[in-house]
Amino acid sequence: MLEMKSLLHGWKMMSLIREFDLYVKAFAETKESVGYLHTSIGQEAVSVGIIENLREDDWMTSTYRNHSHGVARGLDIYRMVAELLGRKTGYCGGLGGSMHIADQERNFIGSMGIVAGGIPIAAGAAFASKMLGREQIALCFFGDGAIHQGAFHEGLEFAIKFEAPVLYVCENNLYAESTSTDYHLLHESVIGTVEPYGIRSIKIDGNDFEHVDEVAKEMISWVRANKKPAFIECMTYKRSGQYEGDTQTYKSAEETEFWESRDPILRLGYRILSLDASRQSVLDTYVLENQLIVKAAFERAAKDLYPSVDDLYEAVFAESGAN
Amino acid sequence: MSRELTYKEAINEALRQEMRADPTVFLIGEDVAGGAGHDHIPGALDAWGGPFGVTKDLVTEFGRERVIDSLLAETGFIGASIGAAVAGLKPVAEIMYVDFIGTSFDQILNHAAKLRFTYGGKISVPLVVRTVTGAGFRAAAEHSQMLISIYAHIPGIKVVAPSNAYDAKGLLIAAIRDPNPVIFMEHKRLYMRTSNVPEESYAIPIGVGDIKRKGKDITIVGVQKMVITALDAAEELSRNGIEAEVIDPRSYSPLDINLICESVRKTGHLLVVDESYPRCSIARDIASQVVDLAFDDLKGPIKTLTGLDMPIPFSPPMEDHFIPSIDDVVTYATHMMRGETIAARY
Repeated sequence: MLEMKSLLHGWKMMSLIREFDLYVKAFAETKESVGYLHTSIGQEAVSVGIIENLREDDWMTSTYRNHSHGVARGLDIYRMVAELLGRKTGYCGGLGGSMHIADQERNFIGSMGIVAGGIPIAAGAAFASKMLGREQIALCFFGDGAIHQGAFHEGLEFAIKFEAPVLYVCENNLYAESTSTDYHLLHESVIGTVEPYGIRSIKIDGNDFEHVDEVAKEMISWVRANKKPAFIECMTYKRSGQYEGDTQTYKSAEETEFWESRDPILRLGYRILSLDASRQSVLDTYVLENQLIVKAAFERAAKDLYPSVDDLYEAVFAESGAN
Repeated sequence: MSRELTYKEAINEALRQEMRADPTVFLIGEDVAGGAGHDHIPGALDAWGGPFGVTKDLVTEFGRERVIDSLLAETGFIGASIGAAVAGLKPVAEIMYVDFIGTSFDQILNHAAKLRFTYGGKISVPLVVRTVTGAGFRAAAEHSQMLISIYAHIPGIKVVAPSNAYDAKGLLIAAIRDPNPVIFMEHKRLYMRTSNVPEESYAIPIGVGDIKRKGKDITIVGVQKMVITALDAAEELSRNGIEAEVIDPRSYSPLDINLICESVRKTGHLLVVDESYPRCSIARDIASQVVDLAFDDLKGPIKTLTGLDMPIPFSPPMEDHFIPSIDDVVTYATHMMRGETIAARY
């Protein structure tokens, strides 16, 4: 069980992700384009619960639904916003945008636009670390829709065959784009597809921050110690739809209501207040602080320069010095 | 000291020298060692060295840890090679035949080629993908293609296709040392051809073409094996009083278009010979770039001599017909020099 200090920290980080996404969503509706936008509203507990347990030098890959992973990894909000606005000061110099947040200084390799693209890449990064005698593992996030791609199976097989220390985390948010897991899964849940591979795997409530944290601690140290892949399926819910502008007419009112009541931030809030009701004001303060951080980031980044054409050409190839 | 080596031996030597010099270089691919899982049987280790024996004997020196027999899953091991490259190793992956790219293409198209750019130039992918090209081996439609233009179409990867043993060694060493993804194409019908190859390690810069034969009358650009065909044709043309300049681009991304344009400025005629399909081909790309850059220097229309617009047939005489021949090159060049029109071959 986590101490109050850790619960509050977790809540604060989840709230920061939420405020980031809410601000971006509102901004995209009214102001300049931020490109294709995929928010993580309702999935924050997975990001914070897992990533907080990584070592600083562990590798990480994500997908186009990556804002929560970036914030949880400790990326600077201002530089994330600058990337969303296509500015040179962004994490990718404005060349990646919302779908491709990454930070090479934190070994956050990339956020892939192809749903299972990162599965073999994370396996390779973990494999390299093992070959180089390092203790790093790789963490690879993806959604339930990714498990049908060949890259998922080939990447998983690589990790198993060559014993790559990689933790695969599936955020099962019940929808592959607009297609529900009721239709697209061949088993009751994702873990049914993974279990026959014989790797250590577990399915958990991904909206229960404390539980995610507990399982992540255990699985990350298991992967690091055993130098083998493992798998976690986190049950969560894509409250925001596939992309900003998705009307979500494919969801029932009952379902939406049910998952709103299971919102991870709400639940951790109840938990904190059940331990100490006087903490409500602290939570309120976090929300205000986080809103200010995001707002300030937007105001600052909006004044930054766009990349130049020279910057574009320089990014295509690394200089071949050794020839 | 230099001596005669086959193209295949030169590639093997380049790999061995780079693996000795840099412990982060490793090989991975289908049967690059061979016989995996049966090391208790005396003949298992080093059973294959790839289907053409190009990586033969490397596993005996470097062990199965650095000469890794992959699963038959190109997406898996190409994707993992990308990850390994990002994380500090220098993978030399092998796609057994270029025709198999389909099964790994997303990893090359959307990840290897784009990681660096998308993440603002802050990441490098020092990956080499060796693969085997070319028709004329009675290998039918799915083991005989060139596909250079498919790779060259994609910004962010380099594409190299040498035509002789000397270039193969120097370019492969450069590819391994290059911090970017490089597709290194080996033509199966060049493997047994020899040339003079220095023993010591050397790198040939990627993106620099080579004039294989000097001439003043017509420029012939050959693509990989077609350099050899063009050189043979040039000898015959010379007997008829036409001196052809034969250019080997060696690298198709980046492409040394200036070298080609300089030659065209001198000769005024350009024939591009490429055994690949005609549509959207590297031959047409070279031709269109010369139109853009050196149209005023042309004394006649540019011609491209390519394979046919169809899958590669097995039937031996039909496969031979598919590939541009020495006679085809001589006929094209002769007609061009006389200012006569020629019907397209396909």
